[in-house]
Amino acid sequence: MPKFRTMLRTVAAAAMVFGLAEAGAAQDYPSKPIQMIVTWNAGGSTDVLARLLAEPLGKELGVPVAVVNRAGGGGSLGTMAVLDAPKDGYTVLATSSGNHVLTPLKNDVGYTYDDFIPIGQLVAASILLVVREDSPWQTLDDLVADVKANPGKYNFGAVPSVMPHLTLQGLVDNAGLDLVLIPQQGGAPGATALLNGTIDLMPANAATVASNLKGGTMRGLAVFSEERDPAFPDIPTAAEQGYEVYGSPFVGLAVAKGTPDEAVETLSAALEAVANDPAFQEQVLKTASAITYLPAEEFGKVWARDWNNFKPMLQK
Amino acid sequence: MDVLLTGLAAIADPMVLLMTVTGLVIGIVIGAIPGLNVPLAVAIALPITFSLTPVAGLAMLVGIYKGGTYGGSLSAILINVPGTPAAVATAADGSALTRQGKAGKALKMSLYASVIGELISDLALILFCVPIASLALKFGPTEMFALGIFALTLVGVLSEGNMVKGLIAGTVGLLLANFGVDPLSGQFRLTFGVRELSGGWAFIALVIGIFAVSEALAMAQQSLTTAKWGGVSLWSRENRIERAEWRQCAPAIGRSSLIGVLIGTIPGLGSAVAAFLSYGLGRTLSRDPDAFGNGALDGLASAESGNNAVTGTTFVPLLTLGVPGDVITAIMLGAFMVHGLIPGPALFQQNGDFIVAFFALMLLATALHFVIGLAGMSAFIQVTRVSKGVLFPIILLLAITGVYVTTNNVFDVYVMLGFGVLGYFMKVFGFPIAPLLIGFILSPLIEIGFRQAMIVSRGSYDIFFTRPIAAGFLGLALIVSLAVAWREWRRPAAPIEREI
Repeated sequence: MPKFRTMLRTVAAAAMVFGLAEAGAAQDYPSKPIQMIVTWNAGGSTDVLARLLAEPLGKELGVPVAVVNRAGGGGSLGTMAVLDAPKDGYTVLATSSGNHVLTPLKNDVGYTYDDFIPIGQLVAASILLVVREDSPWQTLDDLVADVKANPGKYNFGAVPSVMPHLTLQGLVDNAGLDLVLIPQQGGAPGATALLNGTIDLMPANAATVASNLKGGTMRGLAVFSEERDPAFPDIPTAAEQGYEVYGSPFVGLAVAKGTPDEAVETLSAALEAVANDPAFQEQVLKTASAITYLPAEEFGKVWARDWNNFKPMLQK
Repeated sequence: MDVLLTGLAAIADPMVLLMTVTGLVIGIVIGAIPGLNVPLAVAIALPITFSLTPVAGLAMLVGIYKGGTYGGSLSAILINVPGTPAAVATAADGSALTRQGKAGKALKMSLYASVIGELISDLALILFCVPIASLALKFGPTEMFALGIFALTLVGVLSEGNMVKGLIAGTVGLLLANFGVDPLSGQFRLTFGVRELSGGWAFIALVIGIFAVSEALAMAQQSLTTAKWGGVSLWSRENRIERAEWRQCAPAIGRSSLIGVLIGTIPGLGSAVAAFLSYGLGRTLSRDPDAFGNGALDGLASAESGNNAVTGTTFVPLLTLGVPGDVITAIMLGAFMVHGLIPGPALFQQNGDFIVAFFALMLLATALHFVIGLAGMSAFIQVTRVSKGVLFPIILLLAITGVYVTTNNVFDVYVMLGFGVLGYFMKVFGFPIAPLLIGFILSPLIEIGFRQAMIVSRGSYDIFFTRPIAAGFLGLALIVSLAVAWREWRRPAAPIEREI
């Protein structure tokens, strides 16, 4: 009997040592659930996208992916949480322009875009310039002419210093306009302000105003992308109308620098597989916007491009 | 007629019934547990609903929404810890009734008032959806500011007899709301270089701390044997709602439902504001205002019908304009979109059958809310059988887990404990708690409204007097302030210390 016990003990010990060695070996990544940190509140556009992604990504990786909301501080709290977590590939950041580029440019939050390794971009959203359905402006030229004739008369609404605001600021600079900003608390309050007449025009993420555009309470005058948005093929780009202004907030995945290469490669491959799955694409198209997948390297270039682009505007 | 039939057929689906019940149960439980919040539950449920039919998916979300708005009152009544911000106004009278051994009466009135408020709100949505939609667009920043100032006079109304301490508490609430990110510029303010403070004080940590943790601290002082409550039977004599009480509560319910209906229609206000307005107005119009806060059944009825009457008309701006009124309906907008249902005027023309189904669903959810609420009451009232010495450690544990699950931030757990100590000392020194929370909730409404209005007017104060709705609310605020000051002036000395 004692002999049997000793044997059991040996087996157990061996199993433990073996198990530990296994857990330590990187080629077995992933071997436990992965946390995907969303730096915004539940229900926002990044959150909805992350929750749609979590399930198929988990299937692809073979372990569950859990969405965790760490909102606050312009997305900086959640972003820092990823840097504070062990750099083992089990904490992934669902990152967006706001927390990744704009907040660290605006405030001293203790990180820059360069503290992260890109996994891949999932979405580059369209920013639309919208007006009320009863607005006299039919084209960007109408608007520009009227605003130039009446400097300081018209109001626009946007959440300060986020991508839609900065993009419209680009148009203001490009066309030499005098518009007054009424700061808004979010896309939905902005849409309300446009409909109740507090503001006259609004730059907005396509997803925020999709229901208003399709429902006929608002009209889109321009999209600030290089191509028209497939969801709104009738809205011309700003460049088509002679204004070279671009703005497109991204959402993608990133991990902290120092994460092992194997984990980065596994995650990148899994994201690519999910992003190319037609069923997933269709689901995302219905809620947020079209998937505009970019592999890790390209996604990293977007970070650097936006960082340099918005640095002069935000670091005065 | 076809539209009506196909619409109603969509409701007859057993899946719709199942999802409504599931949603209601989840909502009530999440709402009742201090710390867990309803928007998070809706966000988690959203992807699940994508694979269901539109009506079945929305059934679940509507169930969570309605159940969650009501669920907060259960913990407010039974343990004096509001499970949701909307139930803060319920806590004072509800918990006083529980202490008097009338928990069953309080629970019943809360359910009846909630369901009646919901029903009135559903009917307002169904009958007047399009006409009252224009109301949603009447409230710009100037009107929001004026309404906020009017609502702020409630601090005075609720502090009668304890005015100085009430006003101090209200001011502290206003100030606490200023931490974090400046709502207009996006710059950090009052963070003192503390990274975690950049999000401001988490509302959930504030509410749970100041109610639950302070209660647990106060408990630690009492001997455990005297702290036993003894069970309350739901259907005992003293827990029956008498005819006279119905007569007393009926006008309060009617009035508060109307307030909830109007507040629900206006995007950006929400059920907590409706509950406070209803409660404050109830106290002003009451023949016995000093009973408010000490177990006034009509106070409880006002708050509960007020907050639940928001849940129907909040869909008015969503369905007619595509504008969500709060976080929860913003998430639900996603559920509409994913099924190709585009809110707006066209929805009523092109998807008439869906609108009929959705309206029927609202009524179904309200009816099921009543049934499930009755069943749930018998379960929840068992809490009164647990001795406080056992109950409060459990509540503390739930609160810590709840706050951590919601914010995923240990800092907020410490914040909660800190506010617990604050709440404890407020109780010891007789400072009322409700004014602090009213100040905290109204502060952003007032600040953002004021600053936006000043930009719209290009710096002229005239805007507050030339816009009729705004001027009206500011005039009302002045009248209420003067009336309260007058009553306070004439009040006999030796004020009665009350806990609000």
